[in-house]
Amino acid sequence: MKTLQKVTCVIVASMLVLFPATAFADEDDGIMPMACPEVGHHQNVTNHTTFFMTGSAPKHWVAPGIVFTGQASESTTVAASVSGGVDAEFLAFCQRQCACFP
Amino acid sequence: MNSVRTEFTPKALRAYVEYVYGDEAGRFLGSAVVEGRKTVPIAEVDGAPATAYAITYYCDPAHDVPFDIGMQQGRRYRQMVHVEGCPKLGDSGTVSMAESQLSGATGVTVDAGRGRVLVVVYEIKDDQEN
Repeated sequence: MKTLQKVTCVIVASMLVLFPATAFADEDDGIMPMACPEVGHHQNVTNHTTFFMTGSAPKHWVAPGIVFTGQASESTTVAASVSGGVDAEFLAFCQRQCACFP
Repeated sequence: MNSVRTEFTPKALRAYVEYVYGDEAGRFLGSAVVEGRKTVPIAEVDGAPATAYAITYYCDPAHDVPFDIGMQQGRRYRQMVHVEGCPKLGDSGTVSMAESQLSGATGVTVDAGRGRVLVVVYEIKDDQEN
């Protein structure tokens, strides 16, 4: 997968984008996500926990460290965010398969 | 995915995955069709450093509702993907995760809500593309 990551992620650029700390998925809590922040639409940041597969229909929210392969999408923009209160976000433009780790 | 659309069964999805990936599909660990929330038990993996879990899913387009997939290890749960609905042609994808992120996983938990989701689970090695 590491090799594939290098091949498929065309551009990986770090960006500072702000969005809120909406719960997505915490390990060990057994609680399923109810909602997720959308990249660039919000201003307050305390926590980042999700990858957002923009442009995909339906929307897919992929947890950090997970590789997602869509069967239909030829090109997908993926935003990977960093957990632990870091106000940084990595934006990756990927083709078909992305593996972008914070 | 035509074969899957006409036969919404774990067996059909498994046949599809193994047809597409061949030997690279990895070692089959388990499969199920899930309604509501359910943990699908999986076979043990060898735990080698390069081991990963690969889950291919397909949702029933008759129910356009969100669903979630994650790995389970006893009471521990590791979210993998949240999908916000199931379009009229269905939706399929594969999520994979290094075994080290949740060592000794015992199952795959799917919350299909009011819909239905097929999952097939494989053990793959880190250099595989599944």
